[in-house]
Amino acid sequence: MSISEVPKAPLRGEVIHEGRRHPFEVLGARRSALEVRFTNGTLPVDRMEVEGAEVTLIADPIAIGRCRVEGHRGVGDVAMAHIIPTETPLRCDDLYKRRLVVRLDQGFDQTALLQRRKAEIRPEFRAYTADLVYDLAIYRQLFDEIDASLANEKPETAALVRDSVRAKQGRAFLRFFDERLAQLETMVAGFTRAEHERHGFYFRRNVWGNILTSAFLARTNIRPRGYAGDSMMMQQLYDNSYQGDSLFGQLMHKHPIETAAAQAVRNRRKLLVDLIEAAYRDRPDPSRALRILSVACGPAWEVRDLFTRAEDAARFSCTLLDQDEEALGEAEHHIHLVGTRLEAPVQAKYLRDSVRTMLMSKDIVAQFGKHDFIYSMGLFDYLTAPVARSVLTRLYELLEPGGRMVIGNFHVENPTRTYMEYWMDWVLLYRHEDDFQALGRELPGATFEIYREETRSQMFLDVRKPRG
Amino acid sequence: MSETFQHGELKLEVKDTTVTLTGRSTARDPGNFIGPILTNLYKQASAAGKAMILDFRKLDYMNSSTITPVIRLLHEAKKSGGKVTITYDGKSRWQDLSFSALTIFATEDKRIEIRGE
Amino acid sequence: MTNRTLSLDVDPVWESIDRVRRENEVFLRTHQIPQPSIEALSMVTCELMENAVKYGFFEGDVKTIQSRCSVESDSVVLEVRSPVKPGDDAAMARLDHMIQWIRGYQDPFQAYLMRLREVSSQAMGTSESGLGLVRIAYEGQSVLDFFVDSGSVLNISALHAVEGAR
Ligand SMILES: C[S@@+](CC[C@H](N)C(=O)[O-])C[C@H]1O[C@@H](n2cnc3c(N)ncnc32)[C@H](O)[C@@H]1O
Repeated sequence: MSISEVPKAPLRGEVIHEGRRHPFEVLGARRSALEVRFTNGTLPVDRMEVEGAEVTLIADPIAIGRCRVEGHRGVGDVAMAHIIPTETPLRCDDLYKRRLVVRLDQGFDQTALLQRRKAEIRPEFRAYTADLVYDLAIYRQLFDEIDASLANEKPETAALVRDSVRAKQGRAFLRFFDERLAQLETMVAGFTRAEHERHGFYFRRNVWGNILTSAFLARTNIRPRGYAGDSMMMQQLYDNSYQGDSLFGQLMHKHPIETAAAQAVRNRRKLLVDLIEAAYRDRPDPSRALRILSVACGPAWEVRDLFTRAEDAARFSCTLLDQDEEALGEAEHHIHLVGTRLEAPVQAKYLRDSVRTMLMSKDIVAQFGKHDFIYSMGLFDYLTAPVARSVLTRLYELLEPGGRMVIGNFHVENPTRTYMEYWMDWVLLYRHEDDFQALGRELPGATFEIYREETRSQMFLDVRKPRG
Repeated sequence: MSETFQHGELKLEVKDTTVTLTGRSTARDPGNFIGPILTNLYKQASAAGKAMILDFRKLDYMNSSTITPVIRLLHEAKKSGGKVTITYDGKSRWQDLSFSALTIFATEDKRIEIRGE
Repeated sequence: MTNRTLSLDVDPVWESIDRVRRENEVFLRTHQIPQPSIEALSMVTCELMENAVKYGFFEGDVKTIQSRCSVESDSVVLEVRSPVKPGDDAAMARLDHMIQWIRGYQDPFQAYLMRLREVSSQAMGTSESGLGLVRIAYEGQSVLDFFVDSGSVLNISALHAVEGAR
């Protein structure tokens, strides 16, 4: 995540044991251990602590204190070992990959700084948060009690009871949550941007324990792949089911995926299938398959939906682009399965690239091909106007004459906005109809239409390129 | 007795064990100019058993690389046991945001102190 | 109507940074941008310009840095364009990742804290740490974004909402 480059030279160091130095080379790392090979061919000690170790990052050796050396059993090389810094636990993976010496407990130096932040929180917001945390704790304890009482029950019986509890008390809890959210919205309505940021931070610290009970909220907050809206979150949104080990956790998971914004994501998936079918009917060249390009395709569920009969495989040819290898892999896997099920392989191409850098290529048509239908959902909400404008312009170049392009963006009126920002730590760039359409101002000959789906939180810019 | 060092729009005035920074620190590598002055003074102050004071209150602007020599000094002080006090203008938004973050180096015994005034 | 965009084309030398900063300041003042925003945007201008001078690749066709400052209804957008070394995809991918990571937090203070842990852990330079970019988000209250165009010119932009507007 740093912009500094991973150095190519091997990382070396020495272990100091009984006053003697034993050089090693680092071959890899886990979070808290370095994987090393002692260069003189043997281990200085095994399963023992040594008085010290040093690593040489650039010039001077840096002492990393007492360590434990654990020989690698089971591998042929007897000089291989793990070195675990025990005096001062370190982020060994960062030491290896990024040449940074960061203590595992470095964050504790920031406690005073973090505590100081609460001074800037409005008293009524503190009161609201404290009351909310208390009330959530009450519910949690009650649902936990039911979980505990079902611990020794037969699984089928327990499942029936849980269904019933979710339907009654669970629903009541979700309504209570809605009410509290409405209060939050009113309270923060007049906040400046800086106030939203500070209060959101304070809020999430307070409800962190609740966030962690929810598979969805935990993921939006932790963002294991470095960005919000990864393919796992999309799957959770599309599944829209109770997930989790505890009743309370299941409800905390279900609540955020029943929101208007989440429904809008499910709605746009259906809408896309309709739009693609319409594009197929109007296709400029009936002698060939309709060429579709999905930009920031993610797991591409709508593409799976598109193929229901064997004939469909010949109707469409898809190009899917995303920055995330994992999401693309997932899309590929499932689309392949669809082809297998229909006994007709789907024509699909998978491109890993970021829209921020794909524009770099001089001849993008050669690289990405021309398409009859181009769409992008869940991407433009992350692009500021200068970037969005240039991406749109380049995508328009990839559109065949007579082709159609549909871009999604959340509308400023998204009713789930405060919920997303405060609970999910999920910030989007919202647009009005005017700013959205203005992005396409310079597209030669384009005609536009703007509409929203049923929940009115998601907006679409529908662009048509004139025929020949 | 005081001594003044100037580099572009940045001025460092050293008096006893206090350095006062004024103007704007915008050099390409501010550490080249600031680093040695801080290191020297830190050594002198430590030798005399005194606290070194870094006064940023009158600084108008600094680029983000200016923080590097300051962090380096705090590191050194933390390691070698010397005394350093940093003062900044707590009412200036940018100073507050930049310098309050340095409290992560502060020690409980106030050997290293970061003070917004 | 006064012009709402100031475009400057400057040489990639250190002195240009301050020139752009001053001209942007004057421009923002004539558009009645509040003082705290002007201060934040001056810092952002300097940081973006510094990066362009430091890391730009001026041995190709493009020999200058272009800066644009646009006043919109509820925000100001700063853009700095500088050529990058063709084929240096890895550097751009790192920038992409870094910017998405910073922007992932509702409160950029959180990104700032994380970066600070690394910077404070040792005597490392701030440019490698990306602290300058985090500062744009945190202290500069701006949303960063970028793209690279077909001439291998990096266009990095910062969107600063003018207080009051969300
Ligand atoms: C919210 S998901 C939407 C996925 C899919 N379109 C859908 O609606 O299910 C956003 C996707 O955009 C991708 N993405 C984000 N920024 C990108 C960029 N700069 N270039 C390419 N893909 C990007 C992410 O990897 C992620 O898969």
